[in-house]
Amino acid sequence: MAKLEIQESDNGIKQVKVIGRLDILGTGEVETSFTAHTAGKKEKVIVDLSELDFLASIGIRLFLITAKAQAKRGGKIVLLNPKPLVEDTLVTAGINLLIPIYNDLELASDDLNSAVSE
Amino acid sequence: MTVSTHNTLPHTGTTEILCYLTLKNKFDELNKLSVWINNDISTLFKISERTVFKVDLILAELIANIISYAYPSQCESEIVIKCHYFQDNIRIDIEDSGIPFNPLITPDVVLPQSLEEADIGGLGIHLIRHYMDEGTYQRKDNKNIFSVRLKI
Repeated sequence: MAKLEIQESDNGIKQVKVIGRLDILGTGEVETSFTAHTAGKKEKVIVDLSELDFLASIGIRLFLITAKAQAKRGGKIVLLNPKPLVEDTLVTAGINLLIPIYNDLELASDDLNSAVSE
Repeated sequence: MTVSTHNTLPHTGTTEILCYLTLKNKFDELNKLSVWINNDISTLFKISERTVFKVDLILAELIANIISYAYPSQCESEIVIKCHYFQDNIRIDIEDSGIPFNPLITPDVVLPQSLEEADIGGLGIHLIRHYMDEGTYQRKDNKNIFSVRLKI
């Protein structure tokens, strides 16, 4: 089971918190909404993973689809505060080489603001 | 359905705990799987959060793969998962009667170095191989029997 919380801030950065489990069922529950919020237009997106308890390959696939879409549009996504076991899965899949992972909101925001032009 | 038994193995004197679950080859059965791992297996075997996560990930990937690809005719069938706990390791046997498939001989995915070259699929088998310590496959009585062993 999974759900999303969306927060848009004044600095133009959208935060999407993913809560629960991104297995095949959880990903199916949030996939359409996640993609609509993160891949529809050029965005600066922080995906907050602090309340994500479980991540399978289908959830990783969701992040990759968004990251590829944003790269094409001139936007960017970064991942924030994954729990250690979730971060281990991301690193095992090599995602840390493709999508930056931060444990500090300010650093994540600085990366997006410097990488994405208005 | 979960059943557990405790047996003393005669050749070693160690105690084996067996717990098993039978699922239909339907995606909505996966919720039952995660509850079984995170409640029953976790409590009965008293294993660490990290080991529970590994078991969860390996089984989530394997069972999703079986449901997606093992039954091209979409006929209803059963997948049996047997989890054996020993003193320093867990062995999980996954049995299905789908088409023959050995996860150990599929080519491993090449991890991409850039978003442009990143392939969207193929990570599931890579994760299974990474998180298990040992895997064996046999085809017997028209069934795939895949066994994984994890040190604890």
